[in-house]
Amino acid sequence: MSWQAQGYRAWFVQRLSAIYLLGSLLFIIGFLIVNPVNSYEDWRSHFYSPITNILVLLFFIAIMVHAWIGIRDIVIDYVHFAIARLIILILLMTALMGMTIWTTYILFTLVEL
Amino acid sequence: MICSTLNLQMDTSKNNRPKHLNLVKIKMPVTAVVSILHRVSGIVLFLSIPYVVWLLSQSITSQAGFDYVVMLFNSNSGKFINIILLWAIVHHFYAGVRFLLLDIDFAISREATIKMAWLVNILVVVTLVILIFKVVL
Repeated sequence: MSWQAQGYRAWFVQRLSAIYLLGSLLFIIGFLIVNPVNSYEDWRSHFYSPITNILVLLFFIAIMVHAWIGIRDIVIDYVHFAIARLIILILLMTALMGMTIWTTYILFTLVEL
Repeated sequence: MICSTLNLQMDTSKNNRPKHLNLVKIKMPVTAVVSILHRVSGIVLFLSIPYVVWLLSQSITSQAGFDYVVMLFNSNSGKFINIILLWAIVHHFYAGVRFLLLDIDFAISREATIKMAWLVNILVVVTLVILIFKVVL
C-alpha cells in the first residue's frame, strides 16, 4: 500500500477503516456496558493480555490511517500552494506516526504475562 | 466609447449578484450541513487524538494518574471538552454511516437523502443528550 493513498485506493481504505472502526467502537461500548469500570484495578485488568493490547493497538492504527486520509483530503482541498501543502502534510504525517509509536509503547509496557 | 458602454452594461447586469459565496447568507440544504459538520467533527477528532492517547497513558499507568483523569472528568472544563468530543464522535459516526449507505446506493433519491440527513441530525441530538446525562454529568 502506498503511503500517498491516492484516488480509488484512498477512497477504499477510508471506507474499510470506517467499517472496522464502526464495528470496534460498538464492541468497545458493549464491552464497557457489560464490564463497567469503577476503579483503577478494573481499568488496569483489561490491559494485561497481549492479545487485548494488540487488538487495541489495531484499533488505534485504524484511527491513524482513517485520520491521515481524512486530513490529507482536507489539506488538499484548502491549501493550494505546493510547498505549503507538502510541509503541512509532512508535519501531520510525522505527528500521526509519532502518536502511533507512543500508543504502541504504552500498550506494550502494560502487558504482564 | 464602446468599452465604457460595455462596462456600464456589465455593471448594471451584475450589480446585485454576490461577489463570493457568503456561507452565512446563503441558505444551505440540510444535506450540506450534515456533510460540512462531518468534516468539522473529523478535524475536531483529529485534534483530539493526542489528548485521548494521553488520557489512556495517564489513566492506565498508575492509580494517581487514574485519579487525576477522574478529577479532570469531574471538573467543569473537563466536562465541557468531553461534551465537544462526544458531539464530534457521535456526529462523525452517524453522518459516516449515512455516507456508507449512500456509497451502496441506499436511499439515493433526492427526497430520501434529505430525510436521511434529518434522521442523522435527530439521532445525533438524541444520542448526545442521552450520553451527556448518563456519562458526562
